Amino acid sequence: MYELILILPAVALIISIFADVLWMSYLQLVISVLIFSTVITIAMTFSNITVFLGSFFFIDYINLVILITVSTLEMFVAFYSFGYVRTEIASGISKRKFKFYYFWKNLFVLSMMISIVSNNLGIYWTGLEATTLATALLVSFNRTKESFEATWKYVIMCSVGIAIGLFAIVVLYFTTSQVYGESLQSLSFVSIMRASSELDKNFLMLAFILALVGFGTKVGFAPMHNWLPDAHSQGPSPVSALLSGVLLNTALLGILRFYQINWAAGIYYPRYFLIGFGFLTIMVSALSIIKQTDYKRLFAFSSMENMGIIALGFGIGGIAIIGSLLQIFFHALNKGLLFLSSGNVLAVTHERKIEKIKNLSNNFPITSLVLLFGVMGISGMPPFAMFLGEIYIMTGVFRSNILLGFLVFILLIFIFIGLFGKVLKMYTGNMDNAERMNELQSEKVTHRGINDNKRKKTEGSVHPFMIYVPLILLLVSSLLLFYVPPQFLNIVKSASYEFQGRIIF
Amino acid sequence: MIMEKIAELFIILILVSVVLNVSSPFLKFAIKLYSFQSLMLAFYIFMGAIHFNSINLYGSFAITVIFKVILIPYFLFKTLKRVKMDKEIDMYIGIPEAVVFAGSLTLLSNLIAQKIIKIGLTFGSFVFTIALATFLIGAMLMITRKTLFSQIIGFLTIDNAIFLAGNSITHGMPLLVELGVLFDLFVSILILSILILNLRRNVAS
Amino acid sequence: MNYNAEHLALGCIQFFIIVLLAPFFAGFIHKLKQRARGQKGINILQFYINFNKLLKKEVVLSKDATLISSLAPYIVFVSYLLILLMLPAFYRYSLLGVSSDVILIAYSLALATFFMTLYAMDQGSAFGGLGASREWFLTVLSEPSLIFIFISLAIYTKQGRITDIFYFIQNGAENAFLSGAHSSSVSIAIPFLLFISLFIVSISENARIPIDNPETHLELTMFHEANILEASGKHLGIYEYGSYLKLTIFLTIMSLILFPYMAVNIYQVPLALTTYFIKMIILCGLIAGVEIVNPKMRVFRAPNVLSVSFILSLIAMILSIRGF
Repeated sequence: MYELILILPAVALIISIFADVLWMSYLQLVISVLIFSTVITIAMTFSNITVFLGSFFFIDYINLVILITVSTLEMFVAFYSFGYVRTEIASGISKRKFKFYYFWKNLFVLSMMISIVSNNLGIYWTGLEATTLATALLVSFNRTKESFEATWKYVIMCSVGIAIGLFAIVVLYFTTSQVYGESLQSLSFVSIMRASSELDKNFLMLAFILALVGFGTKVGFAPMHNWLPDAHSQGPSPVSALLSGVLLNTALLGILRFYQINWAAGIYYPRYFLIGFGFLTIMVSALSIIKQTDYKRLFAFSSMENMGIIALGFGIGGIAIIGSLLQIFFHALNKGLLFLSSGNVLAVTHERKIEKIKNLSNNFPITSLVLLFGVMGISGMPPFAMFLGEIYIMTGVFRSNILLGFLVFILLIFIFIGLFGKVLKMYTGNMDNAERMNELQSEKVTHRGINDNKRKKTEGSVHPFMIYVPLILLLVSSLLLFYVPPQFLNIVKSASYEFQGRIIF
Repeated sequence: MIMEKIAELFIILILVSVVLNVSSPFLKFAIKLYSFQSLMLAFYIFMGAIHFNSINLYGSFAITVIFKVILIPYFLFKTLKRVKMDKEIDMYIGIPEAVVFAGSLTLLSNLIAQKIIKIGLTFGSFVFTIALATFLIGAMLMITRKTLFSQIIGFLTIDNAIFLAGNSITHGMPLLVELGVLFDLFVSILILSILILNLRRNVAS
Repeated sequence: MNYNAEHLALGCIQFFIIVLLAPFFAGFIHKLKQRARGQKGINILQFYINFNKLLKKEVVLSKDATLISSLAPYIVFVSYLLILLMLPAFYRYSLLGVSSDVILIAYSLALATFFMTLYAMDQGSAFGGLGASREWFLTVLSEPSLIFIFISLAIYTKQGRITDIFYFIQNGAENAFLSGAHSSSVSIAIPFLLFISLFIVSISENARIPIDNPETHLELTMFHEANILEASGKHLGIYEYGSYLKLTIFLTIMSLILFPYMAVNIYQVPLALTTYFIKMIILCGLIAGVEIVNPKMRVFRAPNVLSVSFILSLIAMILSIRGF
């Protein structure tokens, strides 16, 4: 049962080498749904922490939350990709390129799954580095100079960051090997948690700081975030959705693991590091969002901000932890729908600048509505699920420190203004005559193929899946505010207990 | 006793090769130095393997030699040949300044290491200093040099530093993990090489 | 007490042997280089003949020259001789061993350079000023490394005199490697670093090829030669002999760092002398090898190399301060 989580993506990976792209897109749907249903079955029947595949992998409450997040978003992305591939092939991109698309995407998902359910921290590291490498060629999928540069930055910065993370693991291994000796067991998370009280506290602290800086690079915490907006905005939209929605959480999981170990060993002050980094990240992203001119970068900064909020919540503790765990799930859905629907705009207009895009409400009636409501959702407005997570976190923050709460609140307002104002500009606004003339002329000059000329720049030219998947995501995200499945709530609650060290391994 | 001293020599040679790397603008030389540096790292691991008589470390020695001394430099050379660069042209600071800066980083890491170290480490107490200095100088290489190739060299230097530190405070990670780490490193070098080639092509066209 | 008499006698012998061998080493390097280039090569004793010939010639001084010009060659020569009096090349008790402070050695070298450049400028020729400024350009860059090398040797062994320093290293090495006793004060790494650093410094100080080429008289490439371009006759001979002495000083210190073996009594002297000679031959070969392999580098790349030497000596000093 549990093994299926790893086997299914591996099967998809192997098939994607051989299968034709259009066939693959059907198969991908089947496999993604299967993964999703496997995870749901696990979640429904989950009762306690289970180790499988020779104790290299395990499932506990925290990684189950992330697992649910990944499988859900992955399923939606698979449906979207179904349409995306067809649309892009119709517009003249070779099938061979999309074969690689499926290959790398499945490799990405597989390595992410390995990271998430790994019991062994070494395997976690290997998986996380593999996600960087698998997504590297996805980010540079468009093969433009900008995308190559973004990929370069992404790979170099994340590799260095993760190398520091490796050192954190080495330091931890040094500490635990005094208990278990030099064996694989010393890296096993469950074993470490069991022996946590015997570990050297100085080294655990050092390991946490190194992990925070190292894996924090991949999460996109503030001083190390330079790569994030570039990489997330350059990839194809489905990949951006996965990168922003779930990969960041996978990297955050590493920090959380180190935090858990420290907490279990009786070291409580790492939480201030989480609070500090979280707050700094929110601040930097709030200031950056205001002056963004590229809408995909805008959303990338928004995911950075949300990771900051999640880290802040984990640092504050108490009720905010539940908020953070909910936020992980809801943010993934919401960010997914934003990237996917903005992907429609990009696929049709081939334009990334905000000021070049106007009057979306006419040309993209559904997509633009989804985009607008999605932005409302991502900033925590009530009819959408992220309100729930954010209200929990803010309650926690206000309870622990009113001043900090006010600061975060003001920054959140800034972010809302930045996001909503920019998307509203895209939603409304007519082109004036001069611009329209320009547009017409430039179209005459730059028309390259028959396809380009025929196709109108409206929603109608994309595959229906690309329009309705974000819409469904929006509906789901709205629905979740009113009805969260009780089993999921239970898992989240247990995860927050586990996080506070109240569950014995 | 003598082995400990020889191990010290290997560690020092790692630092010397990094300093030489800072002082030279030639990329081919830099790759050779990296290979040499990895060889010294491998020898250091080998000394540890003899000292502790651990099979794990022998394996670690073997895979370090295979990946870091042979495979990665080989692919770097291949890429370099195709890119047709031979010299670092863009640097934010001149070579003598960079070298002196590297020296002050060594001093700094000495200070830091003396604060941190409490427990006796495997071979001599200064492995950690050297590892830290190598790490910082590698980071400096990445920051001060603009050519993508030098950034790869800086990254690899950082990686070697972490390996050195890892091998100095533990008797090597479990072999499975180490294999995964080195394989990831190798693949990332491949991907970075592909990116370099593509970037050059894009700039040229 | 024949104890002191033995010291005195063997010290004198050591001094004379080194001074007399100096032109031989220089000649040997020259010969090696020429052989490697496929030339027939000079007589290995050619530098003695040159010196003899120059001594017989008349000294011509510029009419603007002051007293400095007539004194400088002797001061340069004597300061090198002073250093050689201190160095324990193969016998532990050198003549001036009691006052052989490392700082004194470093500054005696600087004094010699100072007077040589004074001489160059005193002659009033255009090349003199050029040579002097270039000489100081290199000396300023290599002096810190030299001082660091000496200081790290002093800290490493906790001794101040150069004779004691190398005797200490010799003893430590004997204890560590022969009798296997645990001696935490011995390191391979520090001497190794110092050796590389000193090697680079000695190449630059002795006007050897990657930095300078003493064989040419092109104004673009001259460093050392430009200083003594105006010297003639006896003065030139003394300068030339001084440069051989300087080379010997550096090679001797390097040989001591490489493998310190000094005789303590008269019975060990033959072995120690042989070892010394072999070490010097090896080092000469090394220097000749470097000179053959490398082309002359641009003047402004010299700081790159010298900064490396500086950093290596700095690292050695850090290590020796930390102790083991």
